[in-house]
Amino acid sequence: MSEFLVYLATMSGIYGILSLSLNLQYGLTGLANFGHVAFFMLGAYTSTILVLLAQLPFPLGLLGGALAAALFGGLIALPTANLQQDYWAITTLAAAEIVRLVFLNQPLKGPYVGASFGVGGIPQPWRQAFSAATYPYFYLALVLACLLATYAVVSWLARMPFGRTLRAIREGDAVPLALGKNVGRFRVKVMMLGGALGGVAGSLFAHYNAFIDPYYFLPLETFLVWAMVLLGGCGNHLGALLGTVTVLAFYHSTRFLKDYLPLPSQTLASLRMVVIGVLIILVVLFLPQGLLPERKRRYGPRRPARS
Amino acid sequence: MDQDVLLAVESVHKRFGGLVALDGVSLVVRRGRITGLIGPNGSGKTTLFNVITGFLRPERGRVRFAGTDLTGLSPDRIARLGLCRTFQLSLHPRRLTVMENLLLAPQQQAGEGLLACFLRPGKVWRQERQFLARAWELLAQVGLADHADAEAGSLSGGQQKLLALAQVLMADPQLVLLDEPTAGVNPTLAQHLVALLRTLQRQGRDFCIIEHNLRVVRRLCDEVYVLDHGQILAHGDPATVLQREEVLRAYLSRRALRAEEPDR
Amino acid sequence: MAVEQLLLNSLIRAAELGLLSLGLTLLYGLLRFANFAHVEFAVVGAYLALFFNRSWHWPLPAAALLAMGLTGSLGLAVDRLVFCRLRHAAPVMLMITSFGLGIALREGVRTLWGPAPQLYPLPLQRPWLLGPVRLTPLQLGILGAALACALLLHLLLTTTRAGMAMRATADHPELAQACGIATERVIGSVWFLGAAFAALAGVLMGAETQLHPNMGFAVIIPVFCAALLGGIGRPYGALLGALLLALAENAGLRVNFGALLPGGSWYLPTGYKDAIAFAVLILVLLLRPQGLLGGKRPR
Repeated sequence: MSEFLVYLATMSGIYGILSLSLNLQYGLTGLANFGHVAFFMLGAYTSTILVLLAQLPFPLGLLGGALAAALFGGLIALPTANLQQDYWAITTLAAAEIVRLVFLNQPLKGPYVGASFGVGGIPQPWRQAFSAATYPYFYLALVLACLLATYAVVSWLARMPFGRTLRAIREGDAVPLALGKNVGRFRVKVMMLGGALGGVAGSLFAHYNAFIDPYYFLPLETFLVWAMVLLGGCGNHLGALLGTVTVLAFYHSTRFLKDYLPLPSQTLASLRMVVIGVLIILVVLFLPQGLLPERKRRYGPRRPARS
Repeated sequence: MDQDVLLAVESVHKRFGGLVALDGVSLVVRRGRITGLIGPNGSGKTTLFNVITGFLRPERGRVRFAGTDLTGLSPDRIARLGLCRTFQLSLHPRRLTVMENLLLAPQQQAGEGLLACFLRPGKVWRQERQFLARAWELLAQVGLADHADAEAGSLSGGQQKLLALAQVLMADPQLVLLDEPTAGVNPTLAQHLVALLRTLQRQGRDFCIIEHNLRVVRRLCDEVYVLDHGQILAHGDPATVLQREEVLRAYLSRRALRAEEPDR
Repeated sequence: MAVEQLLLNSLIRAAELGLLSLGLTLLYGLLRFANFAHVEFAVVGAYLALFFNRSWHWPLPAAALLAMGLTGSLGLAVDRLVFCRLRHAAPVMLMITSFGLGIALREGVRTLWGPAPQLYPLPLQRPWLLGPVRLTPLQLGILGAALACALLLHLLLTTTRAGMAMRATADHPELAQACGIATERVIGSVWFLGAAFAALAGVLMGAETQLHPNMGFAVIIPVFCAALLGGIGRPYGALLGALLLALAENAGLRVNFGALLPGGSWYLPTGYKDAIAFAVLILVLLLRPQGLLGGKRPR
């Protein structure tokens, strides 16, 4: 059981980074990124390729994964930066699928198969320094450190003028444009930063799971992260994390439910996705602010103009 | 070119499908004067604002601002050149507070750079304090200081107009285009607003104003253009132009006429 | 493969994509609602037809008709239960909700019918040879059904009040809104029609290959691409878009891109067929965001 809890905590940490990244893009900036999983995938594959094939140390793999995802984020943001949300949604969804197509069709070099068979034997960083029993705790600490850093970055930005401009852009282009804000450039920056964070999560996932294949990165994953952010509360970083833990706990609870429910595990797996789909609809209809609504910055009562 | 001319619109044409919205409009905004733009609904006033500020691209004609050709520039570029506008309908970020709306406006904010937020937090906060002081000052001037922490979306229509004015002033542009600044603002406050705009204009800021309230136009504007069916119908000082019966009767709505009556 | 065969294959693909993008583009034009759940109506329709065909022993065409009716009603119900509460919500809210609905529908089908692919019990198709072209009776049926639907839609759009209202809304959205044309009844008919057409597309796709819970989501990008290419809110545009996209997909795999370089030879691997729709999508957004027939502009 404690093994499972450590697993759940580690996965929550990894998905927490993804949620914070999506919260930065959607919750703060209003970008309907339906291809968020592409960042996760690029981070995972790039890091795998760098560490496994190019024999680079893990930190460089992590960095490379973040960089690749950031570049990709900038790339898809460029043609769509000035389009409306509906076009963002379909373009990002499509772009993520194309990335997946590439990894699905492109075998990797050497003894590592790649393509639809996936890549196994991804080295776990600093594995030799720990025993089999303590390593999960070390990796959990590593993931939580990354999560903490991510949290610090996004909540710092949200408090800065940068975050304020993003929240203005979220509610329409016209006023920020009329005030001289280069809206498209802000969007590109957010996609690159969000991409980098998603890439970090992907790299952490690949080296934790030690195996990746294109089926880990279906559009369903994007949607799972959306469910986390919407449930937790758009624009509230703590809320995004709360949503992450809630959704993941439910998602993984089916492994216990199958002992109590007389249903095949395949059916159970589909059913839990039905529940998550319905959950999204219910949240949008009845809890649009999420569990923890966005907080407002107060500037206090009127102060004398000059004192 | 005339040194006095700040903004020059030269035979601008704009059509939407089969509808001609602007049919060769030319006008001039001079430094040190408040220029009014009047005309019935649908005459193309707001379209003209949209063309000037880069939100729409004209088919023909050009717009010059302080010697720079604006044609084809993006709205944000134009704003950064010192030409800002407000909107007829309130389009403010509704979920930002009034104060946040004001702090959003200043240009050249160090804190809007991604790296600067992390590398130069001291500079960001110093700047932010300056902006905050100026924002309180402006809020006091438009009478919104008590609402600083209210969401912009919760304000009344008139208050949103005041917010729009304070916000655009916060951006510190050379020329401000105001789209119906007094619509929905109560008469006492509207008078106060007129006085405020006058003061600002004497301090060296220039305004071009779309306005329906002819009393305000008469008090405020040094020069007025009448637009109808996408063409400039009349031009001159308000006293002369607004006395031309045919202008009033033919091109201003009856309600505007009625509003005018007690004053005549 | 002969050019004629390529054309025929493209026509069949276009029929399926076109039927799917019709409902999408009509609803998109009417409510500015990019319905990501739309393709799932194809899945629901296909499996319902399978159920009537297999369990009730109805012939496939009759089963398909009933499935169309039921799926159409499902579309209507979904609108009444969920989306009519979101008429004034931001487009992104509608998209997310529809994404959630899409997952629920797809996984619901997977729960009921299982994840394995299934087949309609159809007789072995013996193709006719028409010159260089091989055409099976089934393929002829697909083309016929799609053509019949296009004609039906044309009649609806040109002769009924609701149809004219739909066209008016697509032409002048603001004006139609002002005249109150986009009434709940018109919206309801679009939901019903769109879902029913999608159900038919699902049956046709299932008959041509196989039924699978992912069969709808697998074509979501080409379907959106066809709708955008034709111009949002333009039903004929969607059909044209579907045809052009299908041609591009089939031709794209046969063009020697290597010939661009001297002496080169490089063909797009078949695994990348879906990338063609994406490339077309990006090109449309960059070059002609209002689509070929000039639908709504993205901004």
